[in-house]
Amino acid sequence: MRHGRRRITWKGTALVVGAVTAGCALVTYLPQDAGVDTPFIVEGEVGETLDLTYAKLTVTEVRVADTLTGLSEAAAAGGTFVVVDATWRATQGQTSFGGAEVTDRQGRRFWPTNQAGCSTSASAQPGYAWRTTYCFDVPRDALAGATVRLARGGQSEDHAGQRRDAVAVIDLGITPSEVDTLWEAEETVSPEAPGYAPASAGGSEG
Amino acid sequence: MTTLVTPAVPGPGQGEPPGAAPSLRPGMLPGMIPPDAQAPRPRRSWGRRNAVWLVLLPIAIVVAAGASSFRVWAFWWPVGLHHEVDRVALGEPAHLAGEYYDAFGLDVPERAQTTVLREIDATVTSVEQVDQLPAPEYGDPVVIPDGSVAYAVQVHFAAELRTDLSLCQITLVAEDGTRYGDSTTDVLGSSNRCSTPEAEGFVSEQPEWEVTSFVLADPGAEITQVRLGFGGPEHVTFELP
Repeated sequence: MRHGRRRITWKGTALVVGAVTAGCALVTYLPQDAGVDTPFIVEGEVGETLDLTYAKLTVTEVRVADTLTGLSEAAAAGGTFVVVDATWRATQGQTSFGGAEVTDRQGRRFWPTNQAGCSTSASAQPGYAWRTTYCFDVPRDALAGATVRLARGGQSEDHAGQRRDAVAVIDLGITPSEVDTLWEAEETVSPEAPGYAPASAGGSEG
Repeated sequence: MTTLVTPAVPGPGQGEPPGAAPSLRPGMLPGMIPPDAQAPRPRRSWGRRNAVWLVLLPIAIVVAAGASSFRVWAFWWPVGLHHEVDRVALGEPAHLAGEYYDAFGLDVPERAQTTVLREIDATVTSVEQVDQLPAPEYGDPVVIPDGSVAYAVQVHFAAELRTDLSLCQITLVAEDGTRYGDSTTDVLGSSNRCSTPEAEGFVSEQPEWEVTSFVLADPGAEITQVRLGFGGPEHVTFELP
């Protein structure tokens, strides 16, 4: 038997075929990618302070605007601007917050604009609260039930930068009955430049 | 081997087929092992038969891990303060020595594209909470935000002239590991935290000098350490009483 003369037996064949089948079944049916890559979603509402382990996040206000006016430019919305004021308080060390997008009920995703002084990302250190304004240009049918997704990881095409990391998903609180009023209103918003947040806007510790 | 003697009792197959070796049993071809043949010695256990590979397996794992370990020093080690070269108490001098690669030689052209050894003696002389921040060199005054406290960190330095001080980090570390002020830019907007405010460029101009850097922290934080580094990986730690 030492010189490689082995008989092919039913038992050996069944063992090999069985092992290959079991391996294929494991790879096919176990939700491997989802289990490994899914972010830790922390859900909340406007005004609630969410703990993302690396930071505390409060969405302080949500507004809708046709026009944004910045220091050097004004921007008109294709649909309407959803303006999200958020306050970041880092808890571990200097942190960049690169992820910001609005998701509507159909699953469509809208990325922020940097027009008129709006931010698309933020960076903060522990010890203070940092106020940031994000602006999203969305169509009328995206307003009702929309959520904003904020995180330190960038969203990229498939949320690749947010895998295995905490992500905040905040309901913007827009009900279907409010959509008409919000859409018709002719509002102009001047986004504030990023800066230290007042204590009333999630600025206090904890 | 040739049988010279005809067997007294012929086998069931009416003797041997013509041409076959006389010692072969009926139904067997040359080279076949008779099913009832006795093994020359007792079969060795699985562990003994694979002993060589079993010994090689842990070696292969170590070699594979070592081969991919370049990622640690290529991507993680140089980014951040990972190598504590000295640890002293508040008020004692610490010696920070570390090499860096000077790509451009901005302040000292002859250092361009060379590896430079930076040696600095640093002493944290005090860490005090302050009620207000001084006026910055540039820009508007900075008010301590609500929900924050500010610390003034005083550091005394001694180094050879024209020692590079860029990427200076003066970080307050709290008991729970929170790092306050680990940015290379301080709360007043200075991006050269280890230089005196009037310094031009990023290299030292005197043999000894003193700086005060301001850091925002949470009101309840218990500061236990000050870390000083220049982008890493080398840094020194000052333990607060």
